[in-house]
Amino acid sequence: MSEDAQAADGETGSTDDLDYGHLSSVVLGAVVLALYAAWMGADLVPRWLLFPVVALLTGYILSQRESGHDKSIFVGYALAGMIFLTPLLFFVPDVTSGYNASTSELLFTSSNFFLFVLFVIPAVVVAYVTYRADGGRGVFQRLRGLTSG
Amino acid sequence: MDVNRRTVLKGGAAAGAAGLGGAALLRDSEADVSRSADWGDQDTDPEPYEDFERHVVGEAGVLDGVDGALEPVGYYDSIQGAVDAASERDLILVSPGVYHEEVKVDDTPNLTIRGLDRQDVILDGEYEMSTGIDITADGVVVENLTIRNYSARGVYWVSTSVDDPISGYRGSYLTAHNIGVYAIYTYNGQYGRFEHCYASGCDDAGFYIGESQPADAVITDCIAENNAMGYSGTNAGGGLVIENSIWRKNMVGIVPNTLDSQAGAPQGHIDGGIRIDSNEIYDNNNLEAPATANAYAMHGCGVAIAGGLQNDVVDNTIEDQKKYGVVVFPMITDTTPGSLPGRILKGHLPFLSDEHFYKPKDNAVQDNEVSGSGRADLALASPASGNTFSGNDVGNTRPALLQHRDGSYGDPMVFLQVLRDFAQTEVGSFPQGHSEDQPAPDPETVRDELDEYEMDDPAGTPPAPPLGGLSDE
Repeated sequence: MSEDAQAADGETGSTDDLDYGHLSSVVLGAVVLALYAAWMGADLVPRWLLFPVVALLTGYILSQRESGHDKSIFVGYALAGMIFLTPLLFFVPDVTSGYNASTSELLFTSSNFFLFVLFVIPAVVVAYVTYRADGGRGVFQRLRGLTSG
Repeated sequence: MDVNRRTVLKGGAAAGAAGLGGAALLRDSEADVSRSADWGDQDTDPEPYEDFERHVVGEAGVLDGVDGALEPVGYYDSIQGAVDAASERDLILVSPGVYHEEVKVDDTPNLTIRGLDRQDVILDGEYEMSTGIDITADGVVVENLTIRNYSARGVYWVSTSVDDPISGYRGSYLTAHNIGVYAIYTYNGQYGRFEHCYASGCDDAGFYIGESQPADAVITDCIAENNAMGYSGTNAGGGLVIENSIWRKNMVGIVPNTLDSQAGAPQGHIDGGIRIDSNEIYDNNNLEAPATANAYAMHGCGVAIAGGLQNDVVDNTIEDQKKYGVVVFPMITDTTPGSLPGRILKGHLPFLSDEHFYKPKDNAVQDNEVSGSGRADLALASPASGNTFSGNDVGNTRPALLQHRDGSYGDPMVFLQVLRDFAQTEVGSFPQGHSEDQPAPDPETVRDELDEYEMDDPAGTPPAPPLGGLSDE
């Protein structure tokens, strides 16, 4: 290796320094979250757009976490949040698509409440499992840590 | 490099498993609609016969000066009066006017009831009568008239025996609007045809052919709008073709479906399903149409196959559906009588199933142009089995890559979407209009859009069987 190449290597990091365990867990976590986001949001946003955006965003966030434990906790809470928000993807197209019916008729229905409950339950389960796996630290404590750097 | 053999093996195994899974899932499954290619090949030019008598509803002399019109054997004040006087194979000509009556044809096979003017011969039930023309005899033809304002049915061909379907029927040049439930309707029939007809303002279906397997029937050059369903066919199929027609502004367009409340479930399992071919299907999102619960649950869909088998959807143009252009899903309903708690106590899963749970199977969707759908142009709910989608010009599909995957694996999101709307019909109110409030059709628009609007020579044309080749000719 030439001196120039060695210098460049020093600046950008050698392939020998790649942590494949870290990289694969980042990719795995990002793919899981992006797949779910693409599935839930496909009625509103094209999958070809939603998948890479979510994958890159969550991949970046995951790459900032050193331990596998921290990555798992992030994926758990993010997944719970998306499951919780999934019913919106049933409701929103109904009220934005221009049916000749009032918003209240389409939105405030018994079945939408039923659907909301249907998704809240698994969201709470995933969040609780994540919370226990995190040793009961709590979401807000974690968020405070995140915002304070 | 920080890679050991174990890491490489794990990575390789994961990639291999993903590849195998992907290959199993993503495989082109060519739809094959050739199984129904020769359906609908009816003899539509049956030989007219001369051994009949004419009966005229109207004043004496109404046919004077009409070329080819032979002297009738009698004049009658009502259509029912003419029917009662007629014999098998006779022709009843109805003069222009508004008739407030319910006509029953029980004992006169191969009768033809014909209006002298499609627009001006009107049966009007004033929402106080149930059915315009109720037919239980074989081979009866109704043509060239208008039926409106009945609380249940416009023209109704029905067999009185489950084991003995009505054989031979035809409705031609009919306008049926503002009808409570079904406009042009056959229940348990075989060898039939609806052509050049218009149906609107029904809280179930504009056109209905149900509990008929094999149906051997064709709906062609028809228009359905402002109904809950443009077409509904419960447990019907086999030689049944819906073609070259317009389905628009209904709550949902065309609905082959399965229900345990009628004989022969699931739809299409005996002699195949329905061929839906070369139709224009658009803007079926009308939540101001009158509606039954099941129709509301499928609102915003162009073609909705609900628990049906072996239906072929081919060469249609489907546009601007707020939910799905074509959706294939398990029938999610419970037609068992009784209250919801009562049905739960009987062991029924609320909303989820009829007596049986029917998943869609072996349906083929091929070469359609679908665009402008709010959620997905093509959709397949899970669970499903053996459905195929190919050659369609579409945008978004649910699940992704639907035309390149095994049609046994649908998208749970589609199932939940349909389940939600069926559930709403069980537990709450839903947007809908009323039959009485639906607009009457504009005759000129209908005339422009149908290939044929009215008979050329209703007074002089001799009657003919509904179709050629019927065994009782």
